[in-house]
Amino acid sequence: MERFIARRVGLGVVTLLGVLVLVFLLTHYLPGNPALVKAGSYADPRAIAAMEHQMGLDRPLPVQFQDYLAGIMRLNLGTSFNTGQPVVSDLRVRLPATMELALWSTIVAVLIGIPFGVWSGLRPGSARDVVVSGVAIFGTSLPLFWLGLIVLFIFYAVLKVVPAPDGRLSPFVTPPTTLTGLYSIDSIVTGNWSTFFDAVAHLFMPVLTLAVVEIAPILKIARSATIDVMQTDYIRTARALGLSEWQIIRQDLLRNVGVRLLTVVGIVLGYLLGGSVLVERIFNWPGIGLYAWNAMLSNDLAAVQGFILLVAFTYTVLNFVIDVLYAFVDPRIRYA
Amino acid sequence: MSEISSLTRALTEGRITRRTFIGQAALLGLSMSAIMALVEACTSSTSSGTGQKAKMLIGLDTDIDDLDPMDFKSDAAYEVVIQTYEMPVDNVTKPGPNGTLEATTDLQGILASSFTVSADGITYTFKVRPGATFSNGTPVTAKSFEYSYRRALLGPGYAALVMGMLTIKDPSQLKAVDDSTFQITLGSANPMAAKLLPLTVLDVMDPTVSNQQATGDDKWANAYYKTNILGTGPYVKGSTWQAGSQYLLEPNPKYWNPSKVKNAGVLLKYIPSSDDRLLLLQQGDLDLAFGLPAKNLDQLKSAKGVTLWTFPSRNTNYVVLNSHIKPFNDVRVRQAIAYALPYDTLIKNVLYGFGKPLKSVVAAGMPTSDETGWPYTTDLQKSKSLLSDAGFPNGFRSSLAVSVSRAEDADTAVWIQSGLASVGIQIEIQKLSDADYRAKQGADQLPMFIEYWYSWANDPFYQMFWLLQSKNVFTNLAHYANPQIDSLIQQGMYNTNDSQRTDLSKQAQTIFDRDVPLILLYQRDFVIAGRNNVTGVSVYPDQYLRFWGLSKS
Repeated sequence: MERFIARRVGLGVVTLLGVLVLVFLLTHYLPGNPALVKAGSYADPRAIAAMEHQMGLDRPLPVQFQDYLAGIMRLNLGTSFNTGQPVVSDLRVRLPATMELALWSTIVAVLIGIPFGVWSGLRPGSARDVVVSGVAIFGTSLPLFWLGLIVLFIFYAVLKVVPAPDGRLSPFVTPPTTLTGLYSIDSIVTGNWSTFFDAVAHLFMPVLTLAVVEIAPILKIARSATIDVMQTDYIRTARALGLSEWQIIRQDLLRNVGVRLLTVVGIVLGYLLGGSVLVERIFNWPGIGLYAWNAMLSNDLAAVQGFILLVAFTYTVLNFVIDVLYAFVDPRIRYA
Repeated sequence: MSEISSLTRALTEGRITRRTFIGQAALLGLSMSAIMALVEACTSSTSSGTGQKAKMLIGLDTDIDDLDPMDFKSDAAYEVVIQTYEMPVDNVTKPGPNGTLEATTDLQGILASSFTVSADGITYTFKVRPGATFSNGTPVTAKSFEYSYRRALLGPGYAALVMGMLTIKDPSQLKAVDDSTFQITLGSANPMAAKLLPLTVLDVMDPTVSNQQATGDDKWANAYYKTNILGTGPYVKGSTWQAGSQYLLEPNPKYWNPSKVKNAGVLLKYIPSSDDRLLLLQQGDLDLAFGLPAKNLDQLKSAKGVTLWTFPSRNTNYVVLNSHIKPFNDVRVRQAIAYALPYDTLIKNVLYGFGKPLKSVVAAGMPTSDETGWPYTTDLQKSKSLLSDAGFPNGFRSSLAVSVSRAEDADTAVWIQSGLASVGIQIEIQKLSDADYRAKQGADQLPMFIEYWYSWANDPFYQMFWLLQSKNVFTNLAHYANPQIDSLIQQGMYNTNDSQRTDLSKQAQTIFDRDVPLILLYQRDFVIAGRNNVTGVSVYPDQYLRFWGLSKS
């Protein structure tokens, strides 16, 4: 097991190094000079040169990369020129907002996707299977941006049952004392119920949008895993032994389906941390997605690099955790 | 029960909106009739009749990037700096239509309780307002004025350009005569001085804290001021300050003139999408929405509960023809293009009526503006004839660049493409990111591009200096070089004789009309969109709203 974990850690480090090089090169070969945007309309060549110097853009690329690596080792990802703040501090402030979205949408997606996927897979080809599969296909094919706008239109503009899509809390509502940074959790822990309700009301639309898209892969995997598992010898044996359907589902099916779902839930969660850019943009959700969106529009190199690195790091860590859990659940993996 | 009372208190104090109240009360299990009764009771107690000041909610189109008054920064950052710092003098305001406030060209003391100008127009003497303090309680003195002007002259940022135009080039021209008297001595009498002194880049800053925060590499404490606010203005940084999301400006408890502030604070929400700002304004979740494009403003013309405060603006929008790239060095080609553009269509289909054609490089609304010499209307025959004379009877191919962050420019480009195609000029529209656009512009790679300019100082020579002067001016993007124009600008800049200034300006405009290095398109109106119950909207030469006058019923 130790060798397995060591191998996975090594692979993770190599992956992150690869990402580092790629991100650095890609962002530096994007067209345009961010120093010109930052220096402004009145800037003369001297001011532009000073700005390039301040942003470190006047140094040779290998030197910039070396500085960049050294900075990362010290958790210094540079300063965003959009916000004037260190990127690490920007990401730290915004990450809880994105995590809150990812967490709640994944919980909603799992609570809906797994039961319906299993329910559908137990009777493949039946009417309920056709309906559930249809919903999964529909969910997969929905463009996130379009879905977000529809949700916004229905719940905010027409029904008027949710607060304005302008952040995590209503104007002038004070955030709860920071414990996790997730307002919904922190407000419960501190017993601040009016803030909790406000936070939940603000979460409703973005969580719904993300959950609809997220449910589809979970539902599909749960369904196909159920079909596969239900055809195995041990299920047939369990039935022959006279175990009830519920016992079979609880003791044999869900455990085996869970192994496969572990991967998909992990991947979806990782995707949400990076893929929430569009949803955050639509609902003005002040997370790392909106931060990345604004950074990309203005060639805010340090911010873009920081965002990609954070997502890559999260993805790598999630994959590592899933691999290790997988190995625990299924011993065949660690010896493969 | 305590949750219901805290909710009702929040609504009464204006901390939450009616919509939020209804949503949360429903979650607490109250019936709709009970909720509506509570709303009625709460909102009736917050009406203007009680004299209670309201908190204002504004949707921003840009984020706050840098709070140093003397740095170049985003529009949102300028807005915040203007509310939290003050200059020695500012423009006098007078009531305008629909409850608005309009700045005049006269000056009044702000941090200076009074000021005098010597008979020769060279020496300005300011008396420091007694009792004025920075928000940390430190009194404002003549040393504060002197430090700030020295910082503008020698420090970071671009305020040195303004000081140069004021003809202040040496710190010895700035002097704290005593604790309450500050004096500046200009290099020459300057007709632009009264227009430059109220600019926000000349804000007064605290020398004590600045010196404490200064370091060897940063002797003007630029790093400190980028993220901290320490001014004398009506507002201070509030308890809510979430980067990338929302920023609360609270009334400055130490402000020397508290009766000026008509609201209980302003929450600025950064909402990048103009469609979202439009929607939130329509739904009553914003009091004011900044930076709405003309298309959105048009949608609001008949919207219920929304008012558009529309002011004519000196904002100039034009196509730059790069004279370094052929065939735009040929005046006949430039004239042909000017005759081919669909000016009226642009006003109707791009600006939706929120603007007027621009017919002079000295925009209408600026002293000495003369539109009579601008000969260009859409005349395709004349355009074709000029192209033939220039050796392009069948037109030519080129490209027109726009920055993606300016949506209206992209629309304008499509109409320009269509107009030019009518005379055989085939252009490809290049939509570039801001960074790419500026880089290509700086590298002289763009033959044609759409630009805009807004002069904070309402002065014809200030405007022409930045747009047309050929030497040492990096905002002359067409690389236009005409010694006659250079000479006229130099003669007019510091000429204190009004009639001579007018004459010089008109001569320069006539030459510009003939040479057309820039194809003038339109002057976009300055429009603020807000709810009907908002009053106290103001318009200043810099077109940044002063929040202190805002209130709502």
